[in-house]
Amino acid sequence: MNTELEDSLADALRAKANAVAPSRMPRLGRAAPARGRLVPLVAAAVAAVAIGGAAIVLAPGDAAPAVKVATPGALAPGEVYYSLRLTSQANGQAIMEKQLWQPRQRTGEWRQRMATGRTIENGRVVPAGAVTPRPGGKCYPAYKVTDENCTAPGSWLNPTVDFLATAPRDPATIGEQFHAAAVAQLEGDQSGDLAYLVELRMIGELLAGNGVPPELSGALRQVVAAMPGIAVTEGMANLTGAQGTGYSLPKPKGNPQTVIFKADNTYLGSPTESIRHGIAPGLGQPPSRMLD
Amino acid sequence: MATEVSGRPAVVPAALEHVLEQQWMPLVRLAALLAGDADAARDIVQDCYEAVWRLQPNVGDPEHFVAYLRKAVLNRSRSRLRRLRTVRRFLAQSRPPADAPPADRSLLVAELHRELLAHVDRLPARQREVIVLRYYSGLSEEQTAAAAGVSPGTVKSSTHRAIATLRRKMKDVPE
Repeated sequence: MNTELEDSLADALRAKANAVAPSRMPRLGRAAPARGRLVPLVAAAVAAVAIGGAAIVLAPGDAAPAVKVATPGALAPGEVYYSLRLTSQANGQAIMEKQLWQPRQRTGEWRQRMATGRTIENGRVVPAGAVTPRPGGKCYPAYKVTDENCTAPGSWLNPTVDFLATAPRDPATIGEQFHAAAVAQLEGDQSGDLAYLVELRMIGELLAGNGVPPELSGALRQVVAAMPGIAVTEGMANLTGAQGTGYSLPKPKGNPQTVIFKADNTYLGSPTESIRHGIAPGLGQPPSRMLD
Repeated sequence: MATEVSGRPAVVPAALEHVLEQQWMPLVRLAALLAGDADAARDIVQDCYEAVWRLQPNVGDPEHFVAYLRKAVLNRSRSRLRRLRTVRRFLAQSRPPADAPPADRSLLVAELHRELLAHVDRLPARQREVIVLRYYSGLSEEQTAAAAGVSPGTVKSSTHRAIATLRRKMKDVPE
């Protein structure tokens, strides 16, 4: 007899399988048409950021913190980095909000708070239920200091605050390193389009994190702008309606992979995501100032 | 279609195509669970089908033939995951951690499923395969063993370990 967990597991697997859209069997016995080679990265990006027809109330701006500062980085004793990330989920049927408090010290304790809803007001998700703090951990994004992504050295793929502070600032150098990292992720697959898609996704994830100095954000924008095939769209809005310049690469299927920057090189997210960074006086406390 | 296969009796490709047509979506859905995304799943099953079509096997025993197709899909899913495992590791690290439960039931259930499936994705490859074959395909331990190319004892222990892991990971999820 199955346990409750096993029943949930079977339900979850069936739900995921049934979400696969019906398709016809292709005709066999002849040269197959060229098929776009999709890596899970691309598909995951589609799943993570796809936006559909849900009723989303867009309200540009953010009611939270009042004071903006131009230069991040300097944390007073006890202060922590704060980020607010909204992501459209499940084809736009839900919006996930994640608040993250992360200390300057890599192995320090971090905390998060999540909320899910269907609408956005003043840059925040209107929770469909209680906002429940989730367990944090140490050494974000690890949970324990012994986790692999805590013990590994800082890199573009494991961007610790210390690494970001000392990482190259030359766009050409950064571009070469990111591209090499993307090709390595693809285990040597040199096919350009795919590697640049991976690279763009990696840069977006890096910029969504904490501790990215403004000059590095500017350099990363130049790296993105120089990618082959990149499409530039002025006045593109992120999930909460903040506008900037969008840089997009087409994916084999689905919406393009996009990153949006403000004129001052602040990273805004994408049409299905919004990112804001700030500084909070302590773990779990409202931000005292925002950096963007 | 049958007339396009020179030198083959018409009845064989017709029967073959019928079985392949019937099994297309079940195998695509199985591959989606094993490989992680639907687009990859269609590619995987199409690759299997192209190979099978070239072989023109006898489908006199459909049950045996479907088991063969299932095993082929599983093997190709493994190959794909091997090639892309580092990409997945990167994504797993960059994905936001688990989220808070919403209020209404459908969202709550969807969120529970999402978290559960995320933990399934992080299981070791063999445990994940066994879980999918047992709990999605509904195969017995023996059938799972045949599909995965392992012993029934390995299926039993892998299932036990996987369920224990999932139970441990899900223990702080509100009921």
